[in-house]
Amino acid sequence: MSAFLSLENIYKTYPGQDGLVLADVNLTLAKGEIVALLGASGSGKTTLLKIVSGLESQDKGRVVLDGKILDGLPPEKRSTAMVFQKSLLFRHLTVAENINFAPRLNRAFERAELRARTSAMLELLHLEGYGRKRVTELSGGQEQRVSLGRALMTEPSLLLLDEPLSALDINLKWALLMEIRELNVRLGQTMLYVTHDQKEAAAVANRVAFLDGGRLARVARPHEFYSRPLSLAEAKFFGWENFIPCSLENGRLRSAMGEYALPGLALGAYRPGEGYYMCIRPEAAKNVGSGAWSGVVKSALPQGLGTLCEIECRGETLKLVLPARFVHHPGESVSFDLDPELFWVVPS
Amino acid sequence: MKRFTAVLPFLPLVVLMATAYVWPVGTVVRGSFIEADGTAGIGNYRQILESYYFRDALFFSLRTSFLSTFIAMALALVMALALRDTFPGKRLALFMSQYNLSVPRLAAAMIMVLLLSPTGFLSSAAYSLGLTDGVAGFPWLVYDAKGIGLVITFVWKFFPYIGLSVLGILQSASRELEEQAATLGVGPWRRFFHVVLPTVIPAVTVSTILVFAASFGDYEAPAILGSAQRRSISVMLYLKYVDPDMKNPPEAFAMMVLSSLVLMVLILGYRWLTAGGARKRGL
Repeated sequence: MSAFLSLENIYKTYPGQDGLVLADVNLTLAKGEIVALLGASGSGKTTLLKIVSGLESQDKGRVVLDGKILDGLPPEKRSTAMVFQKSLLFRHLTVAENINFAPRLNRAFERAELRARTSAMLELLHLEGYGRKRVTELSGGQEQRVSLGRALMTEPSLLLLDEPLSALDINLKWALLMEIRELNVRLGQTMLYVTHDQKEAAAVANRVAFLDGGRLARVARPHEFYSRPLSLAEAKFFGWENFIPCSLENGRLRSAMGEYALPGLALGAYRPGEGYYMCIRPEAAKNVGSGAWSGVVKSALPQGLGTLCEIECRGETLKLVLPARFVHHPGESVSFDLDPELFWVVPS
Repeated sequence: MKRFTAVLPFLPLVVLMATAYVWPVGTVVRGSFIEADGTAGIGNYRQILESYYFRDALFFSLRTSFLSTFIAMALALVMALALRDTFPGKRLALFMSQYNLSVPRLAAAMIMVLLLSPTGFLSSAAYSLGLTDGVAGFPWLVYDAKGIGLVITFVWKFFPYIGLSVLGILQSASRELEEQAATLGVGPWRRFFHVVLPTVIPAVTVSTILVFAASFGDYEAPAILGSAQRRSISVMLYLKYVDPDMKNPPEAFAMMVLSSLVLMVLILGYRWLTAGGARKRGL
């Protein structure tokens, strides 16, 4: 994979703030790729995006885009464009004037061509007929579409998106995520997409870069984070629950809950005698009512099709999602099996 | 009956407005039409409009107010742009730029006398430094017919009003919009004219109206710093009102009505212009 964007050994601190905001971050993007920068609040993902855009500068390291070193260049001199969490539309302009804001001010095109490109962008974003409207007349989703169109009109080499959909309701969010993917395919637009939502990252990105405490913990395809996390932090972030201390003996996991065969593991990666956590996904419960495991329900939280239950079982409290058709009340006994495919092991 | 019940909670406010505003204004307007012989007419207005001194005072007040407002606005914008970033000593700079808000206008005028008069601090300092050869060599900045001291006082006293209202916007909404424009490839000058200015115009409009009206109607500063040859409209009006000649109060009333009308027309015209611009810009 040839690197279109290359972030090399990026370090960043803020004055008056203890510790590194970013430490030795190395990341590459191929042309036309979408990479999601994923992490909890304060993990440094927005700072990294601002360093690429030129709104912040790194203490150490290099940003190279399409063979050109960007360090020291102001934002307007980089061929990047950014879409923020807030749409940040210019309230004194119409929708069309917002969309063609940058090329109009920079006199990038002749008037007729600018008009044609603006119309084409409005069409691409399903905003035909909105060109003359005030931006104050738009809904939240439409505002964010205009913001996206305004950035795309600059024909950036790299589009930076900083949690662009986090303020939208869930249905609108998924609709726009699909549109962003479609734009990526149609325009071949390279994108760096910041989010704290692992589902959003998995839906939009070709690859996910997971930032943990300012360090780039792992870059991988989204499903790998779900099925094979490499650390406790990763496992927690991608929806794993039930972290049970265990050790590895004779190729089997030994824990307070019993002894199990390692589920589909590359055994070489694990060393006997060291401490591990056995992780069990909440969706692992099956054969509810007739399984070999049994426990007592401590709490039950309905979640639509399933109920998230805390179950006291073999000295541990397991969080498992049980089908909603079985009504469970605290204090009741329940039996179930656990799907070994939804077990995983991470170092403690 | 229903309508009356709905109005009932506002009745105390209506009574208060009537006694504190409508009644005195009504008395002034009525008084302005009572002529020297006790009959009703427009003689007072004719008398005043034909008076060179009134026209001169009106022109003088308008000129000093326009100049003060314009300079205060320019200074306020520079101040707000300089103070929006974080830098060492920012708190002190912020304090220095707004402490004059707490100085009463009378005290502000007296400070200017101490500072700018021919025997004041600046004059003494200029003489000590050998820049002038005495009191006569220092320019007349107070008690002058051009109103320079007045303009300086109004600017000093009023520019924080505009500056602080603009600063709030520059530090929040405008900053984000500027960053957005920068990431779209728009340079600093274009960002200033196409993003910063349109964002602060509503706040500037409101605060400049307040500053213009305050300096136009101010009495203390012109009374202390003004010259005997050229009076501001407020000083002239007061002198007319307290004059022992009984025919003068009705003329003072007519003067009040006329100057209020001029101010009102100017403010409404300004609002109409800026609101038109804002409508055009969708604000």
